[in-house]
Amino acid sequence: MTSEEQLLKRSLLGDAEAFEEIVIKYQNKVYALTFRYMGNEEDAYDMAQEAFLKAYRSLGTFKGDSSFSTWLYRVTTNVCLDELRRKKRRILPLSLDEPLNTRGGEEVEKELIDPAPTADQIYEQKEFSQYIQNQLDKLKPDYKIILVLRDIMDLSYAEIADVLKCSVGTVKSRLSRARMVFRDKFTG
Amino acid sequence: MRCKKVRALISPYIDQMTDRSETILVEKHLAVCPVCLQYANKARGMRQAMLRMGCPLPPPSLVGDIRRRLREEQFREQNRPGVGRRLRVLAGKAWGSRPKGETIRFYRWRKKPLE
Repeated sequence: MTSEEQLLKRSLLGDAEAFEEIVIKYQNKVYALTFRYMGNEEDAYDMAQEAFLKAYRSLGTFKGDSSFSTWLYRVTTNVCLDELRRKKRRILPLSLDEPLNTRGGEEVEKELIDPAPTADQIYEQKEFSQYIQNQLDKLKPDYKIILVLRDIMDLSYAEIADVLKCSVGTVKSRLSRARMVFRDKFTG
Repeated sequence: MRCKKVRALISPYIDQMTDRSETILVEKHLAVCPVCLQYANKARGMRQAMLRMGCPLPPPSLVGDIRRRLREEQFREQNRPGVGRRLRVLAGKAWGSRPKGETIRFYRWRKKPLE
């Protein structure tokens, strides 16, 4: 039995300290996921807590047919999806191409391919990351979630299918649509 | 028409999720269509940009807060009254709500004889 399996077994028996070790192990991944889903630190923090608590309560439903991390991603995704749908964020109409403003007040076109970043380019990259996050926040929850799982968390199609409890074919078509919609928002 | 078909395959193509015939179709088309090639490059660039966004680290208080909430939940669970006690409490409330002096009568349902 691996150490993670031992921790899970002890957690199932009510050992909170064992579950805390699992929290420490997965907190970075879970928080990263909730941050990209929710778009801000406060909501991400709350959702990360809710995800871990829900995982603790429903540990008995983890059958071991997928990896624990995939199962935990699923719990986190469902918690955030419920919250996003509950909040029913209004999707604002987007303007056409917005140029990026540098610290010096110049406007530069967005560069998607960046082989050797300088300090200015790193700053622009941070601003661009914020811009991408802003655009992500305007998508429908289903599109946002699949883009986050694939293009930010870099999960494989099979892992995403496991998380979302759907087929690989569905992941393929849904991701394709999400990317088209997302891309259209950048180009207007 | 071909451009439309190829663009629908760009997303799985950049993820290397197209089958052999689809891959050949896309690559042959991109070799001759600069518009679709630019489309594919932008799609690739978008994915690279999103991968570089990185993942923020959680605040140090996250584990402590989860620990605290777990303990609160466990405490609530351990001090929850058992089923028997809950039923007795409900029965007591029902008994206590009847008017004073009223006698409780018990009836037995009996079938009426046929006339």
